Amino acid sequence: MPAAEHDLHVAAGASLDVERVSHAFDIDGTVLPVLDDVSFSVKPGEFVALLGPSGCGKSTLLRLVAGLEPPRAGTLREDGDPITGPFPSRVVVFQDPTLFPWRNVWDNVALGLEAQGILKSQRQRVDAAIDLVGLSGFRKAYPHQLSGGMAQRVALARALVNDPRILILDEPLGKLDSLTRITMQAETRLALAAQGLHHAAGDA
Amino acid sequence: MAWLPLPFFPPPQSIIEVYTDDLPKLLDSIFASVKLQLGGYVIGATVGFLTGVSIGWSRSVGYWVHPVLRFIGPLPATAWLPIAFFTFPSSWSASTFLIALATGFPVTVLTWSGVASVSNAYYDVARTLGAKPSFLVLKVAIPAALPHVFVGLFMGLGSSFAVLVVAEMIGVKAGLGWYLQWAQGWAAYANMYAALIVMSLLCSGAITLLFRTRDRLLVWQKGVVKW
Repeated sequence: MPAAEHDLHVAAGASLDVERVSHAFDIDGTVLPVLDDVSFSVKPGEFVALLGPSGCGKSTLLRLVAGLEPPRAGTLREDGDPITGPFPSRVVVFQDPTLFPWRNVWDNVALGLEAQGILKSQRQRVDAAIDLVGLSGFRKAYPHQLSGGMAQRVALARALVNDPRILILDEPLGKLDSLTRITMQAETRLALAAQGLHHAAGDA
Repeated sequence: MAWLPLPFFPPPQSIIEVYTDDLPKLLDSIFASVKLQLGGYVIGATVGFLTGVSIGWSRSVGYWVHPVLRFIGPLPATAWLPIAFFTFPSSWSASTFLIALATGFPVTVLTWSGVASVSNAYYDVARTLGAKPSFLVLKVAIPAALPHVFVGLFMGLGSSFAVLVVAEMIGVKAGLGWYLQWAQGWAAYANMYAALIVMSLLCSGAITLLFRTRDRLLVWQKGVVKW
């Protein structure tokens, strides 16, 4: 791993409590229950993986943890405070990298700091995150010029640059071929270790 | 050359002579046309873009603006000519309004559809990274919709040329459209062709300029239409 990892501050993990959470979707007027009375808690720094067949509600639960949707019933807490909306302390790496095609690698990674209005004073964090995922030579590349694995590494850097206290990985390697996935699993683990961050859910 | 009867098809050298003999009047006409077109187009494109973003973003704005757009938009802007020349204080302001109208409709519709078709995944990513609504509009919705906006600008440019020429032929006493009409009235066919050539160069120049701007702003898009 490059030496740049020292530039990234290590954020302490947060605890996560999921209390009696239920969620459902309305599909053409019929209610489709997805989560039924789910409870668990995760300690700071813990690495938790959610396993289950396709369509069982893993991604839905992660969306609730991210605060992208409110649950139909129950509460989710980060360090004891209820989660009411998205906040950069909980960052998601989605199954698709969903990089912004109109931004190059650097600008994509800078997205979070820019949205929070702290990019001007924190530019070195963007460079450090790009170095961390090993894409130093691709700062100016546009997403369409990257391979699937590289795009997913950019997405990881875009998440890590925010020093998240909870990192939510929603099968970020699910769509890669098996060889790339094995390499990426090792790399992701190293990147997370470098960040002092082990707090995640998903299949990384 | 019997199939190119003389008064209607002057020899090339007499067309070239127009550029030396009638230069001041031709330049005045070019200036008047460019001024009118530019003013109307900029107003129409700006209003259309802002309207398109608002109705694409806000459901309630869309609820009120959509019926108006649906009812007035498809009407060719030239259909407003008689009313516009009657209600506006000057033929210049009337034509500016019509050119803006012809530009505004396609720009509005395409900006709107561009903003409305932005994938929710982009908003989700931005929101989890701490983006506020203003960031979602300015840094997610608008850049993502920009390729559509340029299609609208291109279509608006085409229809605004048509309105410009018709307005100049009917009401405005200046510009290339007026020059065409005037030349035809005097059976000065060489002048007519000379003005047509200039007009064609100006229109194609304007479109080239628009495409250059787009290529510069949308470098991230690969394999875009070439002009």
